[in-house]
Amino acid sequence: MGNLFSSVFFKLFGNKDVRILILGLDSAGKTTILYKLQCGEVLTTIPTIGFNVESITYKNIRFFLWDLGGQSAIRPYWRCYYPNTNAIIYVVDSSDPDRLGIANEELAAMLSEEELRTTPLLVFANKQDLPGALTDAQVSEGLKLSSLKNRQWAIFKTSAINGVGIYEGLDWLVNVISSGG
Amino acid sequence: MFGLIYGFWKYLFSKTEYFILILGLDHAGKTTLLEEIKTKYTKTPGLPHQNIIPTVGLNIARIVYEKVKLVFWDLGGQSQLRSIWDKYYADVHAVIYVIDSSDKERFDESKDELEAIIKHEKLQDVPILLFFNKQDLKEAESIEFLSSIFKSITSLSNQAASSSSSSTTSPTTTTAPIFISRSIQLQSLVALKGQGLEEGMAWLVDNLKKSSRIILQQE
Repeated sequence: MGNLFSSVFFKLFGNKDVRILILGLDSAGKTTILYKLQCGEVLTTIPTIGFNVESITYKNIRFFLWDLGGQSAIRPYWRCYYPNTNAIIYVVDSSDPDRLGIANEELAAMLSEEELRTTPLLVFANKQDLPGALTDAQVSEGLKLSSLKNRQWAIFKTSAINGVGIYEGLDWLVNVISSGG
Repeated sequence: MFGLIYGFWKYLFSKTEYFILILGLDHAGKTTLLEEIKTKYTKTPGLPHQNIIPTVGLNIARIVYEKVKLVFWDLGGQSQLRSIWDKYYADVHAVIYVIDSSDKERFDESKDELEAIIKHEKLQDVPILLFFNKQDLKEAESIEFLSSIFKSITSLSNQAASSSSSSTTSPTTTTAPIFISRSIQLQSLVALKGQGLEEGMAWLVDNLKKSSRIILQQE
């Protein structure tokens, strides 16, 4: 019954709450992306221990963005945040080919979790402003994205400090969420 | 005991699930087709077409059509994204290939991609539905003209199909083994309005039910 009311409410007022996790290895640019989205500026960030959470409203959808620390010691705690997640943003440092393999392992481990079995995945191939950055095709190959069959996914080239590609990615998320996943 | 009953119940009432890949050049209308499928056959309407952006990755639609579960995979069609198409070939029961009927300069490119799909060993026996999209545009070529253009490819497989049907059961020893018992259907389409979609779907499901392709479930 409550369900019915809330769905009618959503239809009338259109503001939908969604929960997004921003994950990735340390120094991939997760926190920079979060605050670029939230206040449009590039802030000087320090490595996140724990998490940052911000809400932004974009195209009638209220996004609760959870940016979790990416250092190897605290990656095991990511799983505490998996339930009720509507989408994952996975941020990769494209200028760091050496750690693409680790990024792939962490991603594969995360996506094999039952709670995230069909959760849509948005990949940001970040730091495109740096020389020698891998292309989106190379990153998607490194992450073996083409092996994903049961979830929607997309990859975008981004540069968090220039703001390039981030909103294109967000547009994709809006599409996925508003068409029911 | 309960498990047994449940298993029997599932056996009786579960629906077969088929996977269908939607391919074609960029800007052919694959995602528009996918969203139209969602709108037409599910309770949640798909995206309005003006919101559709070029796909970089995978879009999915799940529908039930005539008691058959269908899962559609829509992949990006830009040239640098086409390399991932074949990663999905082993897991699909059918392919929908979308062609922009108004894009005359790229008919040859589209034809080449289609040829590669038809000749691919992992897609030997899957039915292929060709959608000649954007038939509502003034510049669109007629379906007669288009089928004559694509004939060199589609006839290849039809010939092989007819020759193999005369000598069935021994597909391993034939000399032209690439095109075995495949059915291809050409269908005009206006993805924006869903014209031609129902005809295509009916043909597709009909052929899926006949297909013997078995796919091992992963995940």
